[in-house]
Amino acid sequence: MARLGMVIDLKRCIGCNTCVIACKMQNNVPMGMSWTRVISEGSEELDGAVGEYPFLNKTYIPIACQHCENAPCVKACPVGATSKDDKGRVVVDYDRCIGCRYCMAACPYNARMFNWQKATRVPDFNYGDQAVPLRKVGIVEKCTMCKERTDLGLEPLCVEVCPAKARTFGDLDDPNSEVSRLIREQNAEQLLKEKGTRPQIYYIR
Amino acid sequence: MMEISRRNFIKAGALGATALGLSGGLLAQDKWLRPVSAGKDAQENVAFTYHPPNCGGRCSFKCTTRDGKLAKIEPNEWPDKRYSLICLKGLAEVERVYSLDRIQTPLKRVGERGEGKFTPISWEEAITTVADNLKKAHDTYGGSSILFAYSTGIDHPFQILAQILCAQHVVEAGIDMGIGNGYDEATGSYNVGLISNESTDWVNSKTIILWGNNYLETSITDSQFFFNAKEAGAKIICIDPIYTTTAAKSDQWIPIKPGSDLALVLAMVSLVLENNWYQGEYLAKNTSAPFLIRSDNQKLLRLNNSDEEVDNNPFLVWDEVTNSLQPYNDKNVHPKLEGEFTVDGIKVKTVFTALKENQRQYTPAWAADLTEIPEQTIRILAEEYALRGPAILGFGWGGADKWGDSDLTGHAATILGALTGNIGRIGGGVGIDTGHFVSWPADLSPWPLPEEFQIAPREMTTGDFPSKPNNVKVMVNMGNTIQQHFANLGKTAKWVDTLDFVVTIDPFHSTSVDYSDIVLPASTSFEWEYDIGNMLISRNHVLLQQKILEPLHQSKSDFQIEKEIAEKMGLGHYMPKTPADYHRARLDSPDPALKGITVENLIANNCVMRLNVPDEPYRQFMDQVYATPSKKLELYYEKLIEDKQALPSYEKQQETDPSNSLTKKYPLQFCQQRVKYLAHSQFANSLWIGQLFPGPRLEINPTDAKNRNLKDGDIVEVFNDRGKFRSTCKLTEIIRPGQVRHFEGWWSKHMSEGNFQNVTNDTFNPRQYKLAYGPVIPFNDTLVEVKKA
Repeated sequence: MARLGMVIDLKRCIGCNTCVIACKMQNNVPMGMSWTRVISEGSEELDGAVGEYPFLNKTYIPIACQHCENAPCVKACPVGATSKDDKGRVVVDYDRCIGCRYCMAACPYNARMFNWQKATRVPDFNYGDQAVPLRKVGIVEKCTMCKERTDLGLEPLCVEVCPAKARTFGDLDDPNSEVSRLIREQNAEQLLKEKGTRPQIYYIR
Repeated sequence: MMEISRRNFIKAGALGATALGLSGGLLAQDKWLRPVSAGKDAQENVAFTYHPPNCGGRCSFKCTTRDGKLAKIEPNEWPDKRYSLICLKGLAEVERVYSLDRIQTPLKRVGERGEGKFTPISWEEAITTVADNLKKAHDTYGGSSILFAYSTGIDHPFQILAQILCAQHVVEAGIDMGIGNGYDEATGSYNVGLISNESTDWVNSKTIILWGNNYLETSITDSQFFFNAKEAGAKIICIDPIYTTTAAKSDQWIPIKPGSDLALVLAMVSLVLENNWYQGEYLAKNTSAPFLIRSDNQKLLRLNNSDEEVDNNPFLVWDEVTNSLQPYNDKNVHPKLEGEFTVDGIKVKTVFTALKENQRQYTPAWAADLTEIPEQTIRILAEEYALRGPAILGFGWGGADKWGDSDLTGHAATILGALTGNIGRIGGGVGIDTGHFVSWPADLSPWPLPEEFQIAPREMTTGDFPSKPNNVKVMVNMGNTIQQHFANLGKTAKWVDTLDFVVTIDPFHSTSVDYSDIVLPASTSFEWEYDIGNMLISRNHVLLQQKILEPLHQSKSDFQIEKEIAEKMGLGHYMPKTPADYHRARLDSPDPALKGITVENLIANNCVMRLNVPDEPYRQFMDQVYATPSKKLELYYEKLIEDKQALPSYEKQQETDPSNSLTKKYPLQFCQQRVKYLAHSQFANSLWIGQLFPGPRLEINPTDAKNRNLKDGDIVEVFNDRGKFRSTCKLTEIIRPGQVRHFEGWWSKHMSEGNFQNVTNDTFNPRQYKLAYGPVIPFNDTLVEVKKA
């Protein structure tokens, strides 16, 4: 048993999108989809800033599934396809998913994607980790916290590749873990805390 | 609480359209309905390589192939784990290697040069045509009539063939050396202006000034060192007209009027002098500041009037103890830093005194006017630089470097660094600071060739080829050099059209390919005919490439193409048989840093081994011995006496200075900037990155857009007397009013019309012909107007 989580230091995030491309590759994510993305706070634009020249602010926020403890998607799923696993990850059972998309409506983070049509992959083969399951048309997919890596004791690929070392991964149940220490010492925040979803992804400002 | 609306999430979640114009056959996915674990049957192989140096990052990769396809790239583990890095561009290679932009066969031009019409030909015909043209030019006009022009992204730029042919062999003349022209003269160490200290030394700095240096976007894989320094207590200050990511992450952003960098450095020098913030002892001991300038000819006073070497004819200084002239290198001398004296009826004064006099005109108020930075901000900046402890003055290559006065900016910055004792200091340094380029050096041996084979001296800086008579008849072009290495593409293209023969070797069909007579499809760095590919030294390690894939389509590696051309010309016996043979010869070096590093040991160590060098960060000049004639840091440039720039004086920009009447016709300064999504012209065709990054944009401040009735998404024409291009308009507050930005590197085919280089300034500053790297291309000193197309 564990409660895996992540701390993202927004002071360090440079919006390079290395995590986005790494996730796409590792998880065989097709064109037009991304399990993780980097938004600019307060702006709807890529690399957008807030304010008027020269009084400007820019903060990047990488966002993917928040692996909530009180996950609205888990409650919304009528067939039990989405659940919390024994390591505290929110996982989707692709064989059970009926594609009703209630979970997508329930998720306040817009972290889930739906396979509307046959996936378009460029290049046209299954890239990434071959242990990552394939997804069929008509089901939902999202960040798994790199289940296939973390089950082997590795970090999620977005954590390993972050060039600015903004991401830290670990067990939130272990008070001595680096993630627990950072949350304690740096007043880490959760996204949309008022929703009561209790995310396992924390952010340092 | 974070201000993120659901709309933010949704908008940001919608990636680029999936309509890629691919045929159904290419998308056939008969395997994707397999049960969950079926993929595990596939045959996987792991091998190691590194990413070639276009961005300078040189990351080492662990690559997984599955059923012969490149399926996965991960960072390789280095002995120094801080460098186990990768960025989005490295990861995106999984797609780019298979790009539809790959040139699949050798091509022969059938249309006009620049038109882009080609027909496939065989390798036999292509190699024969190239060899015949090289031989003809070599035999008729001499080796120097052949110009091998390559980009920094080319790892194997046909050095051996160029040497055998005694040809010209050029990378980026006139680019990325502007600050270096001004700095290297002082140190005598000619490293295109690179700073003395490795970026792992930043943690020892108290103040880090990043000047026109978008470090966090252009040196992504060095960004940890920025944050480590910040967390260790350094104050990081970013000086830039544009609100870059580096500006956003620094402790302070100082917006500056484009092109006024020199004025700001000069004002900082003045403040350090007038407030006595300088280190007198350092200057007297380690620099030419106490040397004496003769009032009759402005030259430095020496023992006699001959041009003999410094050992026999030393510079003289005024000795404080004996109150007399003494050789500067006398063991017991105590040079006076300041003062005016009379020697044989000639008045002389110290360089330091002359500097003080020259600097009087450069007040903070004067600089505030030119830079549009408040005077108080300038005062605090100079004080923090001088007094907080070890400090870095770290320039980028895209800002102050790309102006016609960049040598003066580099010279003034060197003086500022010397005044404050920041050169040859832990946590200090002045110069180009872009991370990865500075680390412990090691000398590889050259490939053995007969003495008579030597690269021809560069006839002139490449930017002069279009306008001055020269011997070049044939161009061997590697990379997108015709677009990227010249300003004013219209003029460049006219020159290229006068050449007898142009061959381009490239994996992708970039803009430069269109100007070629023959095109040879190169493999990417992942594809090899041999088990071992290229090898290089970076970040204190030796990196090797293994074959990841067989060459795709009909492509061949650069190594193989060079070899086959040489063989066709009857020169094959001079070439290494395999890349591994070549590297064995290179590693057979007396340099102790390379001891024990062999091709075999590299393979056994997953293709990355640390040099035998100290564990501490590389720092140049710690012994305060310089490679100059005097072995001191030489602050007075005698070669610029005629130009009245022996000490740096302010100079107006040639095109964008407000006094130029052209500013009325073309009121906007045009800036081309490197962006994190591309490595110069590379990755412009990456479909993975293209999902994030929408394509060419002309970015403009909303105020300037409003005055021109422009809105987001408009197609705009950007123009001046040199030419025009069209792009999509993007309104953003990130851009300073009066400036427009277009990210560099996009190929003509990505643009709405034309090419961004059609407008750029190709006028050289004549003074710079005297300097180490010749004149800089003043890309940033460009005026344009923008209108709705």
